[in-house]
Amino acid sequence: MNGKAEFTFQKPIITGIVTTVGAELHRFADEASMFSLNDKEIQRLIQAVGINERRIIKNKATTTADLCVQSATSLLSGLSVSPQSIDALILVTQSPDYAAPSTAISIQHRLGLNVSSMAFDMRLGCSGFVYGLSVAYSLIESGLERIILCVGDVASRFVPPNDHSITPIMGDAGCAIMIEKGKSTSHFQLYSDGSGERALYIPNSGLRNVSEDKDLPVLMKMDGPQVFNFTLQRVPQMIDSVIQYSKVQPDEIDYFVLHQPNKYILNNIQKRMGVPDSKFPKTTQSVYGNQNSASIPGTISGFLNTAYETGRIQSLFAGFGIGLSWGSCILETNKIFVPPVQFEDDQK
Amino acid sequence: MNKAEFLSKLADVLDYDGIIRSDQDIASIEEWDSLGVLSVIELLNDMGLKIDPEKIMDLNNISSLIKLVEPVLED
Repeated sequence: MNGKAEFTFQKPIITGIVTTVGAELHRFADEASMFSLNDKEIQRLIQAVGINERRIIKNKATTTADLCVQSATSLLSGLSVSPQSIDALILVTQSPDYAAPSTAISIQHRLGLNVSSMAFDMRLGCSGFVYGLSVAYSLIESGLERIILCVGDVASRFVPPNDHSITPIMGDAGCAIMIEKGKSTSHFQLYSDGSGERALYIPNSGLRNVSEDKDLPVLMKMDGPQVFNFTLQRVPQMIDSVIQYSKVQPDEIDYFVLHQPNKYILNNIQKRMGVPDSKFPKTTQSVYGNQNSASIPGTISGFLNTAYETGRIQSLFAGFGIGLSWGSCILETNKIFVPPVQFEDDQK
Repeated sequence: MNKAEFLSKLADVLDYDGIIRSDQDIASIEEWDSLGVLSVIELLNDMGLKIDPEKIMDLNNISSLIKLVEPVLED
């Protein structure tokens, strides 16, 4: 026992990824006046941070669960898989339909899964895809055969309308990922540090009401410099560590798909890692916004779908952020189902 | 890196038009905004310094910043 969350699996494999994003396009250039910024600041944000466009929900009643159901429906039909063959459904989100019960159970019902399948939520943000994957992989290794992992957030519902440090960065997305029993080696390392609880949090959103938060709205609050510092100090170190643990050679990794908070942070990590541009996608936030736990599968759907559909790929995934929480994994996929990003059905 | 090179690098990462002096007030540097602070954190990280970002945000003048980086500056 060494107080460490690192593990290796031999059976689970991802067989499909579908991403649904909000149908409403927002261009930073059009909305910059909302944020009380001068022209120089606007140009710096566009050039250095990569803030450009983002996709948020058009129908303001659309929830994360709706985006995930849309993705999961396409996933099931694209893979020709019956909902009755799914053993478990996991939803990773910070924006459930209700504080209680778990929204995954409602998604299970909406998709027509058997009541003999298990369904539960995991409350995590930007690290959530890797965490959710680790739990799904663990259940497959333990005997389940087919799991749908849903990840995502409708972040536009929990950011302030005019905070330039967070609002123009966020996008809305919900992904569904199929994980099945097969033969494939994967390695995970997961970390968490609760001392950073208030670096990124939603005040007054649960049972804890502290005096510093009095009168603060129930909206995401970010200490940008603290989060940035955490990212620089923890993420490159974690990536080095998971590579070392896996014994996979760095040049055997086809893609380093990291959470996509913004171009500025990703450029910094890339510089520290020395990974070439061709293996290190970093434009997702500029096109779709920061998709929270959906950003890694969202990047595959948005920019790498042809590569993942046509060949065997060795990937390194890394998620990091709110918690503070961070995790990474190295795994293989082989010709998976990944259609291009689909848009919210806003007519429902 | 000596002090002059550090100040030149600082102007560079902040995209500041001109020379930053060691006796300058930070309030006079318009580029020292939220993104500017990130650039300074990145510069200090590159220099091998682990400094609490709050300390950087609380600085009032460049001389205090130099005190923080002094241990790794050459004479």
